[in-house]
Amino acid sequence: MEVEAAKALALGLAAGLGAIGPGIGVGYLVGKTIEGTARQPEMGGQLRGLMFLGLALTEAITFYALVFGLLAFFL
Amino acid sequence: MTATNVNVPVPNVPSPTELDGDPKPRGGWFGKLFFPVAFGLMAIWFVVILGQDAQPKTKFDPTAEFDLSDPVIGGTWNWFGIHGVEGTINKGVIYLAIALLGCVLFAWYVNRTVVRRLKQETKTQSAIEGVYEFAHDQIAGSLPEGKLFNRYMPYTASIFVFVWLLNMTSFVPLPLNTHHTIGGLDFLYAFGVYAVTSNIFMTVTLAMLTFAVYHYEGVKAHGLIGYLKTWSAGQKGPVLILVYPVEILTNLVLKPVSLAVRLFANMLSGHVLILLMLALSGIIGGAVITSVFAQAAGVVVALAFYLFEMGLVASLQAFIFAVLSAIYIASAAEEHH
Repeated sequence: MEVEAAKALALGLAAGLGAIGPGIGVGYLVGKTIEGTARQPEMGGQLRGLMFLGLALTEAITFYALVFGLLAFFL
Repeated sequence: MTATNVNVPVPNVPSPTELDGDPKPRGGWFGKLFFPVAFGLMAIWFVVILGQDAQPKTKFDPTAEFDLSDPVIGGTWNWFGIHGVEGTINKGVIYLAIALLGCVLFAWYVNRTVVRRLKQETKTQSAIEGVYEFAHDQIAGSLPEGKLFNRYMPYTASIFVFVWLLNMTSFVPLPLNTHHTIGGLDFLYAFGVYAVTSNIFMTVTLAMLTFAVYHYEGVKAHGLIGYLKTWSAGQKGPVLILVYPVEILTNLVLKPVSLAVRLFANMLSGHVLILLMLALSGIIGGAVITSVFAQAAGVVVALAFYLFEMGLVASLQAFIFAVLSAIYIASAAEEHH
C-alpha cells in the first residue's frame, strides 16, 4: 500500500471510529438530562450545567481521535 | 511533617448577590453599533478570505497556518542576553498580548464596579457583572466555602477569563499570516485566524499552574505524608498495591495532561476544520475545483463551523478548564478520614 493512501485511511479510520464512542456518550448524557428534567423540572438549571460539563468532557474524546488522525495525515 | 497553619489574612470575595438593584440600563453607542459592526466585519472578512488568494494551488498544507517561526515585527533576538533563549514577535505573541490587554481591562472594570461599587448603570456593566457572577457561582462554586474559596475564586476566575479571551480572540482575523501577502504588497500580510490555545505549550503552561496550585494546597492541608496518604482512595490493606499506582498516575500525570490536551485538541481541531472547509472550496485532493457552487458550499460549511466553534466550543472549553482547576484544588484540600 502506498504511504499516502495509508495516511488517508488512517485519518478516516481514526476520526470515524473515534466518533462512535463519544456519540453514544453524548446521546446517553443528553437523554438522561432530559429524563431528569422531566422528572424534576426545578432541577433543570443545575442539570443543564452538569450536562454541559459532561458534554465537553465527552466530546473532547472525538477531538483527540481527530487530532491524532490529522497528525498521521500531515506529519 | 505537619502543615504549618499560616494565618494570612484573605480578603472576602465580594458576592454578586450583594449587588442589588436592577437599574434601567442606558444603551450607549456601543450597544447600538455592536451587531451591525460585527456582522459587517464578518462579511468583509469572508470576502477578503475569498479574494486574497486567487491563484489556484495544487497543494494545501494546513500546518503552515500553525507555523510560528516567522516574526511579524522585527527579527529574532536574544532575551536577557542568554545564549539559546531566543524569541520572535510572532502572531501567537500578538494574539496573546491582545488577550492579556483584555484581561487587564476586565480586572480594572471589575475593580471599579464590583469591588468599589462605582455604579455606571450601563449594559457593559451588567455584562461584566454577569461574567463575574458566573465565575463566582458556577466556576468557584466547586470550591468549599471559606478560606479556600476566598483564596482561589480569583485564580479560577482569572483562568476562565484569560482562556476565554484567548479562545474568543482567536476567531478575530488579523493580518498576521506571514505565508501570504495581499495585493502584491510585501508588508501587508494576509488575514488569518490563529488560536494561541491551539499551541500545546500554552495549554501545558496553564495546566502546570493548576498542577502546582493543587499539590501545594494538598500538602498544606494534610502535610506531605498525610497528602500522600489521601491518594489511597479510602482503601486499606493489600488492595493498595493495585490502587496506589493508578492514583499516583492520575494525580501526577493524567490530571494535568488531560487538562492541557483537552483545550489544545479542541481549539486545534476547530481551527483545522474551518481551514479545511475553506480550502475545500479551492481544492480536493489536488484537483482544482472551479465550480462556484462547490466553493460557496465550502464557505457556508466553514461559516457554520466558525459560528459553532466561536459560540459553543470556545466558551465551553474555557469553562471546563476553570471548573476542573477548581475541582482539582478542592479535591486535593478535601478532608479525608
